[in-house]
Amino acid sequence: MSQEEKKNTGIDLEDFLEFYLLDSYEQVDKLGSGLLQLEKDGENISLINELFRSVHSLKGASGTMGFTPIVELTHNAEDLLDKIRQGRIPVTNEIIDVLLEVADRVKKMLVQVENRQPITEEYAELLSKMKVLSELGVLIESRQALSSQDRGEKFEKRQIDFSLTPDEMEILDDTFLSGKAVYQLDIKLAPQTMMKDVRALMVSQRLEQFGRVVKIVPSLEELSTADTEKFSILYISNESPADIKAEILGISEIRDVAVHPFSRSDAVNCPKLGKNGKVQPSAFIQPAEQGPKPVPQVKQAQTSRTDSRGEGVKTTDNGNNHVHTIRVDTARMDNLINLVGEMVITRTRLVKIGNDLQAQYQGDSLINSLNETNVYLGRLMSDLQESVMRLRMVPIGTVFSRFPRLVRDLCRKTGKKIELAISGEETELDKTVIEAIGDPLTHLIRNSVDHGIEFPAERLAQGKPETGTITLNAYQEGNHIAISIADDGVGLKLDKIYQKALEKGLISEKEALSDKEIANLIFLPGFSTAENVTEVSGRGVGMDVVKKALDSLGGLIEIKTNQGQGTQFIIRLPLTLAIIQALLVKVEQEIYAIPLSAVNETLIVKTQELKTVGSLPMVRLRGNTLPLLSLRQKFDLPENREEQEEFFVVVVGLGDKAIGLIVDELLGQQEIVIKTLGEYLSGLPGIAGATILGDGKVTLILDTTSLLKDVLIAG
Amino acid sequence: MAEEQLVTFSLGTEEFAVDIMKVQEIIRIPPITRVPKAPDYVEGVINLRGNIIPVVDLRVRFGMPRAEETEQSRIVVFQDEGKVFGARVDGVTEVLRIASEAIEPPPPVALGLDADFIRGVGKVGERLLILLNVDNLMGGKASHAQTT
Repeated sequence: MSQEEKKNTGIDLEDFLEFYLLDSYEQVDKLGSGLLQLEKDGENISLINELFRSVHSLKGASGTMGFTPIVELTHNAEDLLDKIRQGRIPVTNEIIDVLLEVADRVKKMLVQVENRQPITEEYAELLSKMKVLSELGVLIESRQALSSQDRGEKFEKRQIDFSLTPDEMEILDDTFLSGKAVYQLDIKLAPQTMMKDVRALMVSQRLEQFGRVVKIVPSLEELSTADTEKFSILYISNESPADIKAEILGISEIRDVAVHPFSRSDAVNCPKLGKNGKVQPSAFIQPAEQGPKPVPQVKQAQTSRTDSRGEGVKTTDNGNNHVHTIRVDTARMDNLINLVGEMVITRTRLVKIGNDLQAQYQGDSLINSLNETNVYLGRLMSDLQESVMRLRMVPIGTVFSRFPRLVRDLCRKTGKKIELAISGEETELDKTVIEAIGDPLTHLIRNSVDHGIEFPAERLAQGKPETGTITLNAYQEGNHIAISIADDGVGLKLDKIYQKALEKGLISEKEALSDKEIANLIFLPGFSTAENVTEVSGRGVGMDVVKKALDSLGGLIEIKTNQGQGTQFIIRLPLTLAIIQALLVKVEQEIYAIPLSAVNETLIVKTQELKTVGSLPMVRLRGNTLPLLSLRQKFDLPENREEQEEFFVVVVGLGDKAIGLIVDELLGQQEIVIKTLGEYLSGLPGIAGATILGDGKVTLILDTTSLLKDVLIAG
Repeated sequence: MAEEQLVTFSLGTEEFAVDIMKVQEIIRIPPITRVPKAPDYVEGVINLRGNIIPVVDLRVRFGMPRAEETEQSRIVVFQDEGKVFGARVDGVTEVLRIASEAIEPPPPVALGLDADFIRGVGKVGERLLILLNVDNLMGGKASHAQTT
């Protein structure tokens, strides 16, 4: 549909744009992953049908919105898929490549649409590629199909109860008297049409240009939810039935139209077939046979295809009117989460008031019931909180789904043979994390393809299977989500890494590093061992980018490597970002919150157990030394305390990277809502954010990752 | 005749004024949480109805000695392009209108203050008001010099 037509319809397409984009992105993704599957399976008819469906609905929706380039691309892709489906041309890598390119190109166009830009992506060469490919099939195509379709129109006039109001009857009566023609238009939409009401509205708007629409049955409201693809319009016009029909068929997703004359007797609810005096629809034959047949039209070929497919999948198609999901603006959801956060804070205040009252008026039954209610409220709150947090959780499969394509493309580029095994797609993570985790994961997978997996010949020489495997897995591990990326390639060349780090001055020769520590050197900024800078990875941006991205998400990364057997990266991410359990500690007069997920244990350390190594205080803990950090010193708090015999230590960190924070008091565990310190104070060392406690006072949340780093680097 | 509406407040013996449109509200001093490693003029953060906002001690910002909190002490909450912050002052004096002509550009030797903070000087009768540039009170280039 052109710009001009958009104006004529008079509806604001902007309203539907969001919906269109969401749906189209989904279809493009489906297309992309389906094509990869098709490449593996070869001739898989149900899969081809599915692809066809995706392309078709993309085309239809884009047609409605007037995005001609997308329509043209998808139209040709549809042709190509149809030929494959009919077995006229075989599935080849070439075809998959071209179709994948179509998917990519359409996605780029959608991005332009989303940014409210005109579509400028070039696509002419893709069109001609597709045409050439489908021409190959045309050679063996029999012409029979075409002639058999030339059968004329058969479309039974449906007996519709238009339930005309007196006003509408009057209009019709006037029309009948004036000698103008009244038509009943029976319109059938393509199966699975989205936004049926919009489609009907567009039909109606277009018709209004040449006549008058008296009534649409079912009404637009009903149509939007009704489980039907058919609707009828009562229409007054001087145009010929053929013109009316052509006009309506010009709108996409309209599968068929029948124009029947509508007489006065029809209007009084006793419709009789074929009774008319005003028009001569010689083409109208009303056979007993129910159901639409292809009509000789410009769009005929395509319409008939839709038909043949439509019959086959009908049973499944009709099930899609049950709504299982709704799309909600994330801003609304975040607002909800904030409100729940406020409630959590308010409840802790209630609990405090209850406790204070209890202390003041012991044994008062009213206070007892207040506190009981508080406990119950608390349970409800935590349920509510969990439910609300669940809203933000998205399965990681949405990120993983892009990697099969990535690996395939990289393989074709490098000539390596790699299989990507994915599991744990259903593991859920906070939406914010999901959005940010894509790039680091892409980087790691590129790295595995480029530096990990060997070339087929090399692998065979080492007695490994020719095809390498990269395993991508996600699973929950306590309060964390772990994502593992493992390859069965060469493994890290630790000696090379060590040499390189020496050359670059990142470490000094004196340092005796464990294998693990050497492996971790690759995360240092400015480190890259790739001997050849390739297109795939090693573009100077190294693994430090990955590390940085994970740091900002509060994540950790671990490397396990075996020379000649492969490398495994394990990423650990916190489950949610907004509400956490925290340990409250007191240092001097200040209260700080430490995320409980970072706390390993708490200790009481005697002053005489304290040792100082270099400038760092340490204690021995189960045979290991644990570096200590005094929060008092770190935060320049005034020291008012006298020398104590023992003090509290909170051990934070994971595995061998742990430190102890020296605090004055442990105040207990509490749920807190993370709030930012705002633009002015963001990025302060050691502070991750703030929260508001039950008494209304602001308490700072410690950033254990940055505290850990300080100490471990200093050490 | 163009007019400006100003909120005036005092710091020691000086009187300052800010554009009323930049003032969101004026509150009594709530508990302030110190923020370690923040610039020294940032006194800390407060809870403003569930939002956490930073508070600037204007005395420190303007190089004046710190003062004890009194009954008159207030926090003026500014909002500037969606960003909200508070400034502790010794007392809020009044809201007044001043003719735009009565506002003069800041003198070259800027009353001992960083010129970035001053928008001009207004005369109301015998009183001399120092008009402040709200944008630069929090953050801004002067603060970087102090943080690093």
